[in-house]
Amino acid sequence: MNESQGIVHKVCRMYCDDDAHREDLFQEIILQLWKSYPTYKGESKFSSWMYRVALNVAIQDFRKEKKRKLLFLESFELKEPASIPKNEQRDEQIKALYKAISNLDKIERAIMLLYLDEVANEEIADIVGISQNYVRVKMTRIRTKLANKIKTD
Amino acid sequence: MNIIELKSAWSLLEQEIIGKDSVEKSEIMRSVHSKSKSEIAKIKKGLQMKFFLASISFVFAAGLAIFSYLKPSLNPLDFILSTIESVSFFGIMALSIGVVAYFNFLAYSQIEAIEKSALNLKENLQFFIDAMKKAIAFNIYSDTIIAPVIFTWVYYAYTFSDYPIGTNGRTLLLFMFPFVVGVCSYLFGRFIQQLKFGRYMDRLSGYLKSLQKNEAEL
Repeated sequence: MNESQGIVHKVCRMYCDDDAHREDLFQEIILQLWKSYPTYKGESKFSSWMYRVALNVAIQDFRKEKKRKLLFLESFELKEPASIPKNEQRDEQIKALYKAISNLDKIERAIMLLYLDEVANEEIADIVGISQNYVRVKMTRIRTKLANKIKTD
Repeated sequence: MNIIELKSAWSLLEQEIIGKDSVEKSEIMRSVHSKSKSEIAKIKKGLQMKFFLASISFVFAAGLAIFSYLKPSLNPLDFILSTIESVSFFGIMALSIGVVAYFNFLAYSQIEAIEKSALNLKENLQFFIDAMKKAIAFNIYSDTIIAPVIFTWVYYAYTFSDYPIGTNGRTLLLFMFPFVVGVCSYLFGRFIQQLKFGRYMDRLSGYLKSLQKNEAEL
């Protein structure tokens, strides 16, 4: 579990608005992984199982999405002045990434995360529980959604 | 931001995660042994508390029913109810509380099942929604049972203390009371649950529908 904590952190980054929420979600995912571990039968890759459990916890998170979206952007705005000047470009890129992600719903975020993590289409389909064709359709829709958002901004 | 830019930003974020977010093994173990702060954990805690209180109340009501039967002179409700009435009241209360505890147990079992699931996202959403709906329904049933019993007995005790049961309006009301209070209590319980979880459940159902509908289109 310790070695694979990158997956948990990435899920937390994808779904959380601030440090406190991120810590809470991290703890919830670790707890859920611990409780669900007896159900892991080795039929799929360990990383796939981890993605499944972590994404399920993040999707079931009770907090209201709209409120969180605002907090999400606000928290980033607050952190911005503290960034080191030489990392300005990097921070800008990450900020743009967060802004793009904030336009997606939780399912789209899950597919986006797996895509950005370069998980194979077949594995994404297995984790989400949809066909590979639909994964492709969903990715096209996400791209269109992001492009439309950029146009309107 | 196009998809290539997103990918490059994501790899920057990955570097940041590796640099900043790495958590010590001891910290992870602490998380494993800590208490959950999730909504599910709160619901579970509430159900545990209700089950505990219901169990105590059940023992108390059953004890009072037996006590009133064996020692009529010490019947705690003798100022308003006869011995037979008191025994019936406490007996029915014990039975109702037993049903409440049973419904609570069923709701708790549903929540427990959710916590151990590691299904894919679509199946898990379906499972989660079904289990939450059942848990909410059992919770409403358990909240609905006690109010009609208490209200009907209070009405009976005060209305018929020196008035016989017969073919009249008061007696008709006595039989209507459990039904009316039961329906009101059920509707109120549903309203409260809708207020608490309605939007959340609708949002999850929306996610599930989006996966099912689009899958069917292909």
